[in-house]
Amino acid sequence: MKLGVVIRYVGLVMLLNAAFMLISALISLFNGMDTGFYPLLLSFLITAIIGAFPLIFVPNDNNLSNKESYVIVVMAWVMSCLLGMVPYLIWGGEFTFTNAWFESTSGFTTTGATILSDVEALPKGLLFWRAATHWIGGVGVVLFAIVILPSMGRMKMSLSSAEMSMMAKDNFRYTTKKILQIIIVVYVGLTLCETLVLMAVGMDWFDALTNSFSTVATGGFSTKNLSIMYYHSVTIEMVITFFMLVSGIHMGLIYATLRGKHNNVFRSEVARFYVLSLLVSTLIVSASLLMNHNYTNVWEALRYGVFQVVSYATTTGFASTDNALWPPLAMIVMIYCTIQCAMAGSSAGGVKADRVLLILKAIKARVLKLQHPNAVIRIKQNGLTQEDGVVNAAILLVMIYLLTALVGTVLLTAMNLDLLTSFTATIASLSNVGPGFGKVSNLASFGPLPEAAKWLLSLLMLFGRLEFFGFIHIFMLRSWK
Amino acid sequence: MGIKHKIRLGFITIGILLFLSGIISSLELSRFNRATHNLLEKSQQSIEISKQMLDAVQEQNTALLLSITDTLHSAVYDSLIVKSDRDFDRAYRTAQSGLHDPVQLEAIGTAFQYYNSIVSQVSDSTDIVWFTDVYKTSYYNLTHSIKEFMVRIQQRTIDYTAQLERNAYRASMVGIIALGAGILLLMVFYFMLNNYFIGPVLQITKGLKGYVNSRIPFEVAVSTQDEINTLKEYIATLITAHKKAKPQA
Repeated sequence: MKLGVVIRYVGLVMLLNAAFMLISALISLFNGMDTGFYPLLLSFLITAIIGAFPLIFVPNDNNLSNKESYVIVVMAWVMSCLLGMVPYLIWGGEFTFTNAWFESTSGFTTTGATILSDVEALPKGLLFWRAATHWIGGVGVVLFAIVILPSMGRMKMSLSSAEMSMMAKDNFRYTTKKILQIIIVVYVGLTLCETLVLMAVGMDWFDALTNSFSTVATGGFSTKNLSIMYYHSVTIEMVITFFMLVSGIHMGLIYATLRGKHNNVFRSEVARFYVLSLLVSTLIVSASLLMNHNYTNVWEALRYGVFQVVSYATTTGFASTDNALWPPLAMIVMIYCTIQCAMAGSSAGGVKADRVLLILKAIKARVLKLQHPNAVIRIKQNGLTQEDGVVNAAILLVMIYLLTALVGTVLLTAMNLDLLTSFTATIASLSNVGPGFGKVSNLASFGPLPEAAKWLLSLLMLFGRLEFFGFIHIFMLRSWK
Repeated sequence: MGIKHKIRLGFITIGILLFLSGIISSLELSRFNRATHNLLEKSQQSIEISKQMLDAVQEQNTALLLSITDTLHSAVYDSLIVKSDRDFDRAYRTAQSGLHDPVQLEAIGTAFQYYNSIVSQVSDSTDIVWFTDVYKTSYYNLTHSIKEFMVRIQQRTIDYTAQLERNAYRASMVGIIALGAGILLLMVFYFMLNNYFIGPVLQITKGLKGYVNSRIPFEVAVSTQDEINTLKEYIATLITAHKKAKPQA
């Protein structure tokens, strides 16, 4: 393996992080040189120098193997989390070493779980950096590196296959270069649109921008202790709900829809399944809230029901109300949303609607096969016949997900956490949702959890973000020829 | 870029990191020192001002008691009361301008206003019963709020010190991080030197040795475009020339 080349590409990703640290430091500077300025400036210097250092020695090399590209992806993520925690560590406050690592990992993996009990105590520069970690992580640290690289060809393809789910890649139907352009255009476009709309409905520019970063990246970090509940505005909730929903859709489909292409969101079977599952979940949750007398008004139940369902299902994790005391039926539906999540090709985590639909179809095909043993039954999704390998890979991923969730839950309960907290914290981290239920409900902080639990959850976030195999490969490099 | 420049740039980069980190660490430490110094200064100032306020009230209290018990109604007590009132007012204004605890200062201000309204009731007919029943309450109220002010400032200092004790390592965090980054860069530097300078030189030596001893073709791949690559090219040319020259010999 060409370790020097790997270090060079990881360095380029670090330079991107450094650029956002500099912007954050400038925000601190223009905010009366608040307490975040020096921590961000020093972090920028360290990150920029570490990023630029390999460029001195390592010549450009575009021929990367799959093994090297996987190492770049994982190393870039881990290094981003490591260097991303430096501003928090230097600033201090509630950030111990473990807390800073947790917050940084939660940011870059777009999980959005926080250890902070008082978010508003943070200076503006640090708040911006928190939101920026979501934004960088959302589009994929490595995807950025591919875009900024002048090189072309095989290398990009092998990097993007590690970054995106394979199913997402199938759906794009464009060249790799075009895919990268689409992702950037859609991602930046959505962020700008949401920022402008939020400003138009009364949010100040800073909150609008940081909340847009969180929404489009399906992250969930907010600048307020009460998250979106702070604004007490139905209009703001509606705007954010819309953008969360859109951000959970395959970026290629959004692009195709905007360009009036044939393979648009309305023709996508997975998009229909995704929206339908959200509708059904919202109706069940709202009805459950009404029946349990959490809300007496139908509209109120729908308002909070739809926001929270979309927030969990798109892996954003914003809060418009405290869901700690929601009834069991609503919780179960929300837990399902946490596992299924949004579409492949978006920045959302979890199992993904594509795989759930594929597995449902595989079950149906199996039943038909039992009824008609000689029949040749093909599983089709979005008009394309899916090979057995794709179906098996989807089933395998779901199995690994559930197995990891089980192991995570057992380990957390061993740390004296209750079952609800342990299970929901595990799946919320694995799916990069952020909040769960129990002690980690949507307005609660992860701060009081044991240190070991925070490390475990951080690992699960990375595990889920890299869709399991990307991470597993790292531990099996020797056997990878 | 030549080897010399690359190595020089490597050292300069590490140097810049350590230098700038050092500067920022110093700035952070001096900011930290300033904050601690300011807090200690404020704490000291608050003790001084609270003492002045308490002294003034005490003096007024004594003057008032003497004026009530004095049957001759000497004017000297009135002037003492006015003087201590002025002293208190001065100390209070200093507290307002220098110490930022508006809630507690407002409490002192309100207590003082009430106290003044009671003191203004003093006349030749006021007796010791009025002093103990009416006046004393306002006096205790005022002295209590001054003491409370003093306690709050002290409590803040205690909290800050406790925080310092808990997070003592934070003071050196900047240095630790810069040191960590420096060590990381040194490791990368060592790896780069090994991989891109020493490694190719060893490969060229091995290739050359193989050619000289066993006539194994000289095939060495050097990815960098620097002096080592030039050296390899020259050696390859030399070997080619040697091969051509050999049959003539």
